[in-house]
Amino acid sequence: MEPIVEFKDFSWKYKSSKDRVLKSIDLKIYKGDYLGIMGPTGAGKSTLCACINGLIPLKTRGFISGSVEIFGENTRNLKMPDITARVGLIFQDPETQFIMMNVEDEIALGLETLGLERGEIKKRIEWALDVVGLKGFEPRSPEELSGGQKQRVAIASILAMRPEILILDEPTSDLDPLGKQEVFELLEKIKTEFNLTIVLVSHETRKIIEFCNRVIIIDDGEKKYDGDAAELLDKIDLLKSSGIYIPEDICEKRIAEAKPIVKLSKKPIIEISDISYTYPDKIQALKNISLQIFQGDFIAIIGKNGSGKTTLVKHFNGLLKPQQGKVQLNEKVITEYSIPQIAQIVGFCYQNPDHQLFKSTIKEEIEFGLRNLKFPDKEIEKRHDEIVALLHLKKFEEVYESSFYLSKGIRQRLALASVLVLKPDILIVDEPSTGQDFLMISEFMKILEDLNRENKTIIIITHNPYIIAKYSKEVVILDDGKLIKKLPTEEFLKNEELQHNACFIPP
Amino acid sequence: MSKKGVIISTSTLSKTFFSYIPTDSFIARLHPLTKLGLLFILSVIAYMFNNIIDLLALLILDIILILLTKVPVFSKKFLKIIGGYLLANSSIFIAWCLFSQRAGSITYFETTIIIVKDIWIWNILITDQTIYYASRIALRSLIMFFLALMFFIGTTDRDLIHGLRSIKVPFTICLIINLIFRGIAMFQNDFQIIKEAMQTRGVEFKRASIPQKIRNFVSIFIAMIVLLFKKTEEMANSIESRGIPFRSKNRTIYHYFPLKKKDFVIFAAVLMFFAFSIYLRIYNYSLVDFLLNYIPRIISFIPITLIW
Repeated sequence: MEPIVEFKDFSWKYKSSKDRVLKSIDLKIYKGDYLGIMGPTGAGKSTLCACINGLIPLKTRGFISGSVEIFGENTRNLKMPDITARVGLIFQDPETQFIMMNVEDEIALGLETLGLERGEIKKRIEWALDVVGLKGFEPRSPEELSGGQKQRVAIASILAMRPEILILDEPTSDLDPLGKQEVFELLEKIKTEFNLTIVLVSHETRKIIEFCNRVIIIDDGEKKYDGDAAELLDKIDLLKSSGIYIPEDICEKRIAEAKPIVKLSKKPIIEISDISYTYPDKIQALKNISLQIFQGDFIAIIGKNGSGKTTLVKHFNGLLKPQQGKVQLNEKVITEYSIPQIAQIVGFCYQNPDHQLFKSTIKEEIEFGLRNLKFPDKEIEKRHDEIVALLHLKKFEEVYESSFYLSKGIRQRLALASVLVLKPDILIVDEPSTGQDFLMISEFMKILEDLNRENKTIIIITHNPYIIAKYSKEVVILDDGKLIKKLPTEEFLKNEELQHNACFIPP
Repeated sequence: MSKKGVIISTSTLSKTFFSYIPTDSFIARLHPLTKLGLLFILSVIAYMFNNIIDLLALLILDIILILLTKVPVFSKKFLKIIGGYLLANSSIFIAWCLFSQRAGSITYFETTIIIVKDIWIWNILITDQTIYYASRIALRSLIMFFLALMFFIGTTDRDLIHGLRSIKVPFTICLIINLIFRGIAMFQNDFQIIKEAMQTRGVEFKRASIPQKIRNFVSIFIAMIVLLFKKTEEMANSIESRGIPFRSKNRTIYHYFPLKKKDFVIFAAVLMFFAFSIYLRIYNYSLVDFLLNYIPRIISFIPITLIW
């Protein structure tokens, strides 16, 4: 059988990179393959995908050796539209893939390029939206869609073009576990129905084993493994060295080792009483929520996309004010605090560190909050040194003059440092796992675990079942703006009904 | 598209200058380019008349156009837009009064505020002419604002793009305009998140001094620039990876939004009004005077002419 994609001793170096990003890759992809690509962040997985759909070398500057052939033709001799008519690529961030003003136009954009007639375009739009479960969403603008819905639109817009090869670069990173499961099932369905060849980049080891027939592991630009997905778990050492998650029965272990939760104080550090919140577009995000959080708690706030998790935590540090009910911080109504006072009690780490870093050097970034609050120079220097040592940022401060050149994982750590330097008692972290590999997540969570041991209150918003099961002491479940329950993690892991409510699938 | 040919959609930029309010009206059903034509030509006409009465007449015409959009004029959103602009327009009037120093036949107020040796003197002089010119400037600004409002409440960003594509404006230009609109919506969102992120680190925007405020906004823009580079690259890759060439002979149009008969009629009427305004300007006639004096005479001649 002839391969439809073939990498022959292929190497690639971006014009701006120091070293080759892909090194002597030999790879054959056959029609009907469901190929999983795994590896740590920065290993070259996305670069490999860009080579299959011609973005490299046709639209990217760099240095090439060897060749990539698609349907028997060297990509260097083809034009982008020739490739994209047969190869569809879906990226990780659904926000930047949404080019047009609404769902219908977004799907029509690629179809117009194919030169299809109006009637055919209309049929394909309806079909693609039906396949991804978004029938009736045609007039919606990107602002009216959740992250998961945008990801489905991205899939629909490529599917409608009826490609023979579908490449998906971490397409489920913004989805809740149930949403992820739905996307994987959807891919399985369309693969069978249209005999598609699918190339999927993912950190989800279980899903790769469950759905893919073949897997390759890329690390530092080299192909380390190419074989049967079912045999992946036999390569434990390789998985460990490549920072890939090795599935374990973490839930059973956690239930077996259950310990009673000891509260350090009887007085809550945060007390929410009957709060409700409706956004100006009339979407009621929170409905009569009451909740108590104590010093030393490690809480995971969970629930499906759009259940009100971020809206709730924004009340903990006064970013939002409840339209009904009250929020108390250390037994004082939150509105009685000034913004600088709150910043020294409640720290907030955003999902995307790019939203949180606004200084050009690592040192300036760490010291920004302290200087803004007019701390004396001596104290600023002391705290800076402490936090740099705690989060192991010293070597980056010495090597990188500017924080803009840091990798996403280190930028996330820097964002945490810039918050922790204010020594808050409570730390809120919004989805610490997006776009990170298992090793990075583990390192980051270890830091939070250590902080919690020092009696800091940790509140995380996450969809990641591994983080919930491994690190949180308690879970708060939200559904459609309502508080379903707050309970110890071990009890949650035993209760299938609550897990279903929270769109949770055990890791 | 709806039965009447209007593209029903929400505006991505509803939080910016595109204050689209969905209505089913004659104005809403006009082609976006007809509305754009109305906006530009009537704005130019406003600069051809100097008489306050004429400008007031044009303002009434604008108000009629706004009413024709069937927008709920007492809605909170609409009143907020109008209120905000009237405030801004008042400051234009006041600024003109404070800085224009126009001599007139009646002086209402005169005082010297600052004298910097022989270099600069700030003298406030409010005369009948100051008030007259300030009113003229404020009225013109108000006319242009109402015209822009008629356009933006009756047109979505999406309608404009489809309108341009339907009259065969090159796809590249339409895509660039579309990306600008999309980028504005995306960065508006990023701006808000970055501002919140600064607040969580103790930054106060409301109570800060002006130099501090400037420093804070500079910090926001540094983060915005980083995001701009990253997102622009990702969007460009997304466009390329769907094989969307800037030039393609095979490209079809899914949403066809052609100019209709009523668009041509409106356009012709506005152009005639424009030509008429040029005529009045050349012969220094007032629009209202001309209408009041000459139109009844012309009308009275019509039956005689018909009998003859």
